[in-house]
Amino acid sequence: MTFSTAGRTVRPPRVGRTARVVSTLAAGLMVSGVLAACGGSDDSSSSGGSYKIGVEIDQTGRSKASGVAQLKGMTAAADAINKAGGIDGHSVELIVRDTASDAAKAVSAYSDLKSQGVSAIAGFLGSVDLGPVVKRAKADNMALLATGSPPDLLDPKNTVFSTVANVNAQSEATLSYIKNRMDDGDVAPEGRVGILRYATPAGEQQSVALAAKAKELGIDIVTEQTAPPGAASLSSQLQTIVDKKPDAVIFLVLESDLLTAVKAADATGLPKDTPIASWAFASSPSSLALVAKSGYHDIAASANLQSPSAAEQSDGLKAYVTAAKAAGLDPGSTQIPEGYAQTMIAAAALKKCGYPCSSKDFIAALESTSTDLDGFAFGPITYSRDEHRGFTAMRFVTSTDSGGIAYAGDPIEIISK
Amino acid sequence: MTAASLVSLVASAMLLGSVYSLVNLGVVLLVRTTGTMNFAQGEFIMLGAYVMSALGPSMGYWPGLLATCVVMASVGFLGYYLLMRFLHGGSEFDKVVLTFMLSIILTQAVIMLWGTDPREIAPATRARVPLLDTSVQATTFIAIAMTVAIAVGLVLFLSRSITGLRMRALSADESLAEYYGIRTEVLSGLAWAMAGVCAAVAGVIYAQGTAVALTLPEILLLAFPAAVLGGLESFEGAVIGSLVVAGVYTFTNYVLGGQWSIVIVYSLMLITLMVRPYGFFGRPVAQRL
Repeated sequence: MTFSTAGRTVRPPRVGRTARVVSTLAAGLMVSGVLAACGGSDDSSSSGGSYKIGVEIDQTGRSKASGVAQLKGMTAAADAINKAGGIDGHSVELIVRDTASDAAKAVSAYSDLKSQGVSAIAGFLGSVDLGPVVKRAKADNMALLATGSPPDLLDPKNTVFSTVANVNAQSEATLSYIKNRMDDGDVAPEGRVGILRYATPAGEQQSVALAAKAKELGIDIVTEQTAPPGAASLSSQLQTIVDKKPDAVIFLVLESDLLTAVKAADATGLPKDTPIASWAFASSPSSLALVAKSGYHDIAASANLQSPSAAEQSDGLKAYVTAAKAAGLDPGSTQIPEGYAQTMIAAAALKKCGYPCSSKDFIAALESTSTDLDGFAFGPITYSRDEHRGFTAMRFVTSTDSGGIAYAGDPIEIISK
Repeated sequence: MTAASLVSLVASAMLLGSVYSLVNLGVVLLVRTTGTMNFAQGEFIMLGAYVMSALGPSMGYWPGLLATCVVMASVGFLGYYLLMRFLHGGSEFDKVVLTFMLSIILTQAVIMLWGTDPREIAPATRARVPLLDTSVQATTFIAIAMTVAIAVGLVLFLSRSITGLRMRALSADESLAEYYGIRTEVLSGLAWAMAGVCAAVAGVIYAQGTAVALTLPEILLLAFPAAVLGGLESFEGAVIGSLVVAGVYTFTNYVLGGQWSIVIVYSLMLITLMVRPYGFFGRPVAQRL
């Protein structure tokens, strides 16, 4: 039906077949995207069944930037293991579920993965994914390998294992780094430090740990400012820090927030030669180079693992670089090394466990595992029945003028061996 | 608080207010012209920032910004032409759902094109303007000037031009507007292209003070209370509401700390919805029963 109006033919609104076709196409696009995100790694080398590792990780929620990168690293590691013949002839299969940083989806994904008979579940970028499934995992004897576990969940009574230096340890390490700089005369002996951290439950736990560590090291925390993750502006917090005239500043935030913080520091007039220390999230060459562009050249980030841009190259680092390049990835990208390391730690436990490996046997195997990933880590990654934090050492890295990475000082022990 | 600190905080609030304003101007534009609440506006902002981070280093800031605006206008128009157009005359709910879908498509496109590592936009200038006994980044004043120019331009366009008038008719009743000979598809496409330009400028200004990252769309959640405060159909309300919310956010952060700022901003939105559901610059809608 058509209408003639002002000499022009007008069609009534069309909501017909074309709309349905476009909607179907769009829905198909979305479904294919989700399926791609939920795909597993290649298990073509399998000769006698495969080890199944579940992965719960954010691919579409607020932590998708870290989640997508971590999964790429995990998949690169699994592919490298499988291409080398698997673990004693058994390939590693990753079964991936997107949590979208949503508690309900995390619980649903957990039930799904458990029903598929996985040996352990890895991924877990933060407490939103991890928290809701901890009790279930404990009841089921299911190991949860996490890159973002709050310290309280790493209590050995739970089945949570950290596959990076946990944030409390990293936060305390930033104070140790500043203390070393004080001892070297780079930071005033008064050690007046301003801190920016997240206003989250985990942030509150860090605050307690930081206060104790600062007292131990003789550091004066002159102000501790808080902000939610992804804050639109950090100028107010930085203004407070600048007003206190600190000798050094610690930013306990993710890398995108670190850039925001540094730009806010510039806007509020923090002197450009102020030493700044941060978490490992900013330890990639690209991140440090971006931060250095702001003019703050004395900035260091803790690093869990050796950097591909640094001069020192262990066998473990070379293997990582080879695996990342084979997967078409930039080895220097953020969170890809952490994903790779997580799969390699799981593989070390699986090798010790033998095939098949039940979830209960996996826990027993992991609790007797100690590896430094062939030198990729700065010290042993050791788990036991009483210790699930794993990483025992980390090191600080800075950006060089050529855009590379240099180590700042010696490795810092974060857990007594 | 020293005078220098106060100046610095006011400058920060004005800059944040400019970003919120630009975000909300894009949202209000589409509500007023097509009746669509675009929940993909945050992703448009993110895409604008990524495009600028790719074009800026080779083209320079201003040519890069201009090119980004052209790209985002095209993306806005295509978003309408390839998706939203097919819901012409459909319910508001269907349109909102489709904008959510558009947001997912845009995010996946960004991940495929640029990966997950943060990127940077260099500011137009690193100059600082002396003010009292401190100095303020010149980019703050540039951002404010751009926001005012876009807001005034939009108000004049919609209130003084024939095309603007037709766009408003479109918003009142899409089907009726078409029966009266208004080229609804062209005008809707134009509105989406203009919203794309708003998003481009918002994304560039926002990201040059933060980082070009996949977290950028979250700005919509923070800017939305400002749009509610001002009224979802008022450009003036969007700007004033944005400045109020940015001021409250900035000074609450300074005085009470970061854990309170968002709580207070959302409480402000809740109170506004209870007292004036149509916002302080919106108009109550009477319906004959």
